[in-house]
Amino acid sequence: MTMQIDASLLAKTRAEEHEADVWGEFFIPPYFDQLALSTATKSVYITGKRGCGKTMLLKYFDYHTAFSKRREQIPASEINHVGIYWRVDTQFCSSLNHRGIEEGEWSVVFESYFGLVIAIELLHAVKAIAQSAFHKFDEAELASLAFPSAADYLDGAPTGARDLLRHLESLRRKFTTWVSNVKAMARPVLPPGRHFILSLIDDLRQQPELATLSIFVYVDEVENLVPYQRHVLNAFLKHSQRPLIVSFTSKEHPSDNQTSGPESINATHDYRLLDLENFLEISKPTPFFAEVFLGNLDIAAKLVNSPRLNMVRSHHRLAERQQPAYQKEVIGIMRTRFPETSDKQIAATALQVSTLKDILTRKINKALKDRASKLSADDFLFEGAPPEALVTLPALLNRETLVPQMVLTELKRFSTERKGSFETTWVHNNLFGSILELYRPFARECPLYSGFDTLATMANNNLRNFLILCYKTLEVAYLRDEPEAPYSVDIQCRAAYDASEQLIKEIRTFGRFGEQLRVFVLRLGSIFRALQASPAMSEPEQNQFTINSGGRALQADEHAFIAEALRFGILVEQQETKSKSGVGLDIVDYQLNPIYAPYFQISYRRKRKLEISVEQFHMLIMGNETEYRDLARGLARQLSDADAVQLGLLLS
Amino acid sequence: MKVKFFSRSGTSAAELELPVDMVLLHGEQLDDRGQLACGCAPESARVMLAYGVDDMSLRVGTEIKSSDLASELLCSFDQDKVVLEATTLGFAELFCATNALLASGATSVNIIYVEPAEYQRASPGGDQFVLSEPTRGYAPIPNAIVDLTSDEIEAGVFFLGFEPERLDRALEEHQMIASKDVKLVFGIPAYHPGWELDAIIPHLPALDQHGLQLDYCSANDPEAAFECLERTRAALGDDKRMFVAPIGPKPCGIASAIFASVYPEQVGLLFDHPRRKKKRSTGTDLWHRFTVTIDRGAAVQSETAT
Repeated sequence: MTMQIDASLLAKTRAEEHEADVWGEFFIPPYFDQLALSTATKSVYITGKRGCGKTMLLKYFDYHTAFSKRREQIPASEINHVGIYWRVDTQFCSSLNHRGIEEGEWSVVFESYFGLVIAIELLHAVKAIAQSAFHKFDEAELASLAFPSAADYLDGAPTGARDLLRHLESLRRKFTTWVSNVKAMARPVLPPGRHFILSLIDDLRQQPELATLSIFVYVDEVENLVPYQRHVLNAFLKHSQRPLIVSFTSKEHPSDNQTSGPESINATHDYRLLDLENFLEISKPTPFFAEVFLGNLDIAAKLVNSPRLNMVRSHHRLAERQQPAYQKEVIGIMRTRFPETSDKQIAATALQVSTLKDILTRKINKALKDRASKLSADDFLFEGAPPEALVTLPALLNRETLVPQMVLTELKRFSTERKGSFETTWVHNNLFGSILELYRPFARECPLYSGFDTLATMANNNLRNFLILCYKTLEVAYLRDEPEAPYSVDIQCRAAYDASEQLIKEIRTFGRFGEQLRVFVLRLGSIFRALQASPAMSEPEQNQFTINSGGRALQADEHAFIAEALRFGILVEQQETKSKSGVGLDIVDYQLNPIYAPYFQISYRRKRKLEISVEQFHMLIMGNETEYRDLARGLARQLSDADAVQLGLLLS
Repeated sequence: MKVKFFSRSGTSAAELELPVDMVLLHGEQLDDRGQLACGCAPESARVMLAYGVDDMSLRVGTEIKSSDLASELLCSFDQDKVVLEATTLGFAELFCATNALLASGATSVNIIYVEPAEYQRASPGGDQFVLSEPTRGYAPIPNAIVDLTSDEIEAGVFFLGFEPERLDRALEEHQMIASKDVKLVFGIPAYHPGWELDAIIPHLPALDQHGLQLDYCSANDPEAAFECLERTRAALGDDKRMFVAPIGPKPCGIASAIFASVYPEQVGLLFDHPRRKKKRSTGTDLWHRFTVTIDRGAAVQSETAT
């Protein structure tokens, strides 16, 4: 039976596209208990790149979700951790700088602004608690709340919760208007940040039902704040303890530890560093990714209380989900939906397609001609010749070290005895790259980019990328009028290309180097593709590079560029793979994120690397088009001019 | 408040009947039309404006101050003789000048704008354009600053052009926008038949992904753009505000600058300050002179006329 799904729900691959209340839409990740956020007694610094599930996690802890009207039962302990997720508006915060006002004064203003924002959120949270199923505190209690301390900071501040909220919101409007017109109007009187919030919490704690109330503020995007603002928030973090704990979330690890006072913050004493990607990697993310996809399918099909959803949303069933039998079942479902074809089978299928067989024949004949051999392709394409060996022939026959006659002898031996060089190394080392090269004319549909495990590898521990790959598959399947799983290999590989293309386009919106990063990815991917296309394919599947030579060290702007590429997950830092030159032990390899592989028809597997110099790297990231083409042509010098033109390394 | 737009169009500066003794406030002359537009005033009557994104400063001629003090920088000019050359002025400079003139009591603003014959395309006949250097991201402009995290910002309007990455970046960097009532406005009719598609097609993925509302207004008519903004303002709740992101045709930017200047309590700006490329367009097409009058004493909220 066809499952009717609401495709618009599946378009939401970002937490920001969800409402503030995500109750029922958040799936407990396998590392959930290790975070121990609800029971924390000091701050945390949560790091994770785009798409790792960071925002969704924080929305789950935010009061909108924890005290959601949709949540039927709320434990009494929930009041011990009332989360406030606050994502800063970086363009607004950057206006609190310069403009004829000293930084010291701005620092005071920013602290007050933060205090005002959190105080307003706190009052909204109390309102949400009163309207939720939290049984001890309802609208009547809310109406009876009193905040006598507010007037100590703000003349004329009302004491009732609703009136005080209105008063503070009005003050925030006045504050924003002043920020916009700092020279044209007087600054409104603002409450001091920390003490004001603590006083309000203290007032709330007088209510017996709220006696253990603790506020946990999660500030997102701290890395994009002006340095002095960061220092103000660092001071909040430094002095965090119940009932007010300020934590940070960021794409990158902490880099600015100074506070607005003489102290600094550090990971041992002041906060726990929680690297979500690390947690995810250790916990083996694949079953969780599968659960999220299958769970979202149920939500889109309006099966809101499906057994799967009930399981993945329940904190208490986490252990059950770690059982090998359960995980095997989930992965089995995904492998059935997203079937994989083995490389050997792909080779066999390819040779049944006349256009591909013709291409292969041409390539074999050309290689034989170039080697001045008297043999022809027909000699190799004999009845019973194993397809997985035939596909590798263009690469092998182009290698000066291999005599064509000897290759033919090996092929015959392999076809009859399953022994020899094809069996030991040639097929293993060259089949994947040879298939990529064979399918190059069919740019968007190479069957290697299919299968659940391949999708998981290409997603590279990134949940959002994984979901985009899966949802694109559903989209292509729908367009081809084959909406039911299992999805054919053709559908999957077209979807992989589309997903890859979409994610490359997105790069231009990434931070201050957005467009430069996008051009860098296009250049690097094109070079890897050109290397892949070299006739002898002596180094197949290159998709990493390392910078291990040159006449100088990397400069600050080059380091900054690499840092930005890593921050946005464009490059993946890897421990060094085998180096040809054997230089140094502390050299880092940078892999182009495998999610981009289908766009360039290069390998998503981590295999070989390209060694480049500092100067070549500089050309790659900052050189003009001519300099880049010269570099690319030099690196892929084995490529024929015709291929170089086709691959964009030479102008026609 | 009554805001009226008067427009006069022609194929040369002469047809605009500009005042002989005008002071032309202009920006960088990057292409043919910029040079021709600035050429309509003698060099001695031209003053260059430049907005400093990093420190929110404004340079008028050789004098630099915080752009909060734009009125002080422009107070020495006779308001009645000032003409803003919008072809070369960036949006930030255009807003600073408009806002300063109106804040100083001006009741009308004169603006000229020259349409290009063609914009520079990435490839001949292609549908992608090379108009801007990589942007530095969205940054505030004093006197029209908004805090998008606030619930008081209820709605937003994007005027869109040929560069979809500018919208993509706004939605990426300011994801709180997703919770607002956002309208995307395309310039239809465009300057030339067919250019509408050049604007709409590259934005289709964003339209598909974010499901935002659509609206249209003529690309070269600030009055139509102003009306479009008024429709959003009229729908705002009590004590609510809106933002405008003028990342499309300059005439829509002119309307946005006037709109943010006359309704500072309700309107803020979101802008990404692209560095415009040299030779970004070729040739000239229609020349426009827009005269905007503001009657602060009028009870009617706004009225338009031609």
